Amino acid sequence: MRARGFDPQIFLEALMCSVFACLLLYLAVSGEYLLYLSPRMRPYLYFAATVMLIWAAAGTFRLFRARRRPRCAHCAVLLIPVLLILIPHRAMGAGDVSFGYVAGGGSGVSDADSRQPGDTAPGAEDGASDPVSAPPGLAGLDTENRRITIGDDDYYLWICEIYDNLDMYVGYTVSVTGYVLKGEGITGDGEFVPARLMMSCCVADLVACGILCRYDGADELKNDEWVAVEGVLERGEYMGYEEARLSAVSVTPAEPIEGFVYTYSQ
Amino acid sequence: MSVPVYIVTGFLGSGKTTFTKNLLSEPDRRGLNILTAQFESGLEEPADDCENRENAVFPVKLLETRPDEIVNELSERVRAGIGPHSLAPDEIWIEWNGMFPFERLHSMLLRPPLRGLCGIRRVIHIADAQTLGGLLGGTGSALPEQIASSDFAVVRGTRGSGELRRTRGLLRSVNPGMRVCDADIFSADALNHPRAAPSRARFIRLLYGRDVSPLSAFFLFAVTLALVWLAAAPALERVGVPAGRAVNVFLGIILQAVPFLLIGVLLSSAVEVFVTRTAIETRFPRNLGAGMLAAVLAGFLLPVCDCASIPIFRSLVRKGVPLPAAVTFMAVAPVINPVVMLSTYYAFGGDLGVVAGRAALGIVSAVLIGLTFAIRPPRGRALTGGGATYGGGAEAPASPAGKLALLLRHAQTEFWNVGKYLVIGTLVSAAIQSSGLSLFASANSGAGPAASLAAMMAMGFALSLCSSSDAVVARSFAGQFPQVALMGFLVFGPIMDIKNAALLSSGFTVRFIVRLALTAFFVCFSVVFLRYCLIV
Repeated sequence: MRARGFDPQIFLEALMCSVFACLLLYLAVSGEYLLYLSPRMRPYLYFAATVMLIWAAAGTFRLFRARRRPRCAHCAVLLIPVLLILIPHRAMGAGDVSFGYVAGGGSGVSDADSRQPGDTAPGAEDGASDPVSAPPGLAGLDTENRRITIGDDDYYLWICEIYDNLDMYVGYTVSVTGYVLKGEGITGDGEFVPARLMMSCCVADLVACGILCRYDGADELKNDEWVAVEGVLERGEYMGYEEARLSAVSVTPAEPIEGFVYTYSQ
Repeated sequence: MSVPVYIVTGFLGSGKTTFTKNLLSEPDRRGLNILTAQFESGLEEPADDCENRENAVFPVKLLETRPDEIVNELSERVRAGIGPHSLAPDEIWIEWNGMFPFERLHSMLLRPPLRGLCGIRRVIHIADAQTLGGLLGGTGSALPEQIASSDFAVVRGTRGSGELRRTRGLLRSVNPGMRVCDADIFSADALNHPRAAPSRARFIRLLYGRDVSPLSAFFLFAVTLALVWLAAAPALERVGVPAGRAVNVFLGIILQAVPFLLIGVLLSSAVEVFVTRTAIETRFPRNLGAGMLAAVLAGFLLPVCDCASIPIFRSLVRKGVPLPAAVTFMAVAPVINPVVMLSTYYAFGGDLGVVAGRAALGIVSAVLIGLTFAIRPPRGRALTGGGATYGGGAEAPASPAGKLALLLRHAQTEFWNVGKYLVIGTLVSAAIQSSGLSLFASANSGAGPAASLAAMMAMGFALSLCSSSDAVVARSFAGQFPQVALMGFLVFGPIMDIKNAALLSSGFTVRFIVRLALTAFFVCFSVVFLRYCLIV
């Protein structure tokens, strides 16, 4: 026989679980979760919301069993994230990421055995003159005019594709928009990277990602300003490794693009 | 108006009556009309012989057979009043024997007609420092439940302050945040003692003071927190502290960690509910080598990151898996599972050398860390006791439905318990990341491989990234750090970081966590350094 009486602890636990679950569902459905997480985390949000809702529902069965020392402090575990989500705050921007940048290949990091200096991609001898077909799932390739327009959705895939099959694309004109990233240890004189912030799991792992661009006016560009770049792809070399470079044809100011690019878009 | 009820619990002979008598003879309590009730024949007469005090004694047998009769008689006594002048009672004091579940008394007091007449105000538990440890181990759930229901504990029989601290720790493992004081402050000669007198005064103030309902306190806290943050965040940004960045990082890590933590607590609760200790004892390999192998295999097969592996680690230790094997599992699972390897493969542009190096060095380090616990088992306990105070009683239902319900509740209790450490760890990590990360990078310029390895490992500790995403961050440091340092980051970060240390403190002693963290650091450092700098 259990004593009857309202249990504030169960009430608060169920309330916090429901509120948190609703927020997770809202973030997942509206797409706002993309400010914090990558697209592949979406199913996990639904999973977490489901568990929370089951807990809240199970709690209502125990709502009227009296408890002598109800405790509420532990519910701050959900209160703090809930408040921080609800209170408006700015999104992460270019100035918030202060490391180097990543590009497509394994340059500079891998053991020397996996990639040798001077290696070329398979079938590269006469690759540049072959008609190129767009790799599956990549939009923006125009073989007739030898142009590549890199969009948001397959930004990282394009960069990887260009690095992996550089010989196929040398001479192509690439259009890409990004913010200016340059500095000691990252770029040399007359160079900058039109970069985007790329997320692989969550906003804590944001890194800058882009192709190094040679541009005579690079010194006049300011860090973090947004530019639209048109440049011709060429082969460069970085510490003995082959890598992709852009030789700028035009660099024009551009409107900042909201949001990030993701390593895995699905 | 409802009469406040004060309950004193404790075993027979623990001194409940002496304590009550002592408290009620305080000068300012003397004028109060007090009804006391006992459910056993006390060893001592409870009330002083004066006309505003009265005592009701109920035989234990009546409690077992006809609790309704007790409810009726007690309400009669309350209504009738005290003494020849039928004075309305100001307080009711009940002594409750430690052998009976507290719940029984609670439900009697909540039953009409008593329900409208009186309400529980405070519960005080009298514990004996010499016997508490043994009693908690052996008397079933009545004693822990009593302790968990109490507001105060008064400890008798302490010899020295160390013993009081130990007993306080024991009591708080059952009832976190409980107020515990030494019984000596209530003795007659303590009244003039310079240190006992203020403690006693504070106890009395708290005992009779009003309290806020926890629900209103919580909402008040929520509103205050929101207002403080609304005011502080812009101010912080103005003085150059990137508060907005910290919020983003915090939310990113939390939103990513919560689903994995949920998977972890569900799996670990499944271990708690469905796996018996005997099954572990008979099935798990006794042999050290076979145990390690089983741990590495389990780590490979369970696609869990560090948020999930720590609750599972705790359940495994609690169920009797040998510590070396359990530590190896905890260290290896977040480094070598398939999801982590795949994300490392992508992040390093399909470089199998990095993937294989990370897995191999991770396994070697984890096994070595585990072995140190076989060579020198920790002195004292690694696990802290109890913890399961939010979910309620620890009954063991037999039916599948009952077990499922228990699993849900256990997982929820575990979530609240571990979640607070996750939140604290993430807050610290977000603050560090937003303020001083460039320090690590600039400290590296011109340093040798050992220094940059140590710097990257320290960064892995501070960043507290999920092991399934840290590879991309490691990749972004490739320009500034040599590969040996990146590997140290990739191997050490998942095994130990701020968030993991915080998660571990939900169930393990500080001593154990510090030992584990230091061992992990030195083992990972040596293994990675040997691989890259000495073996060419």
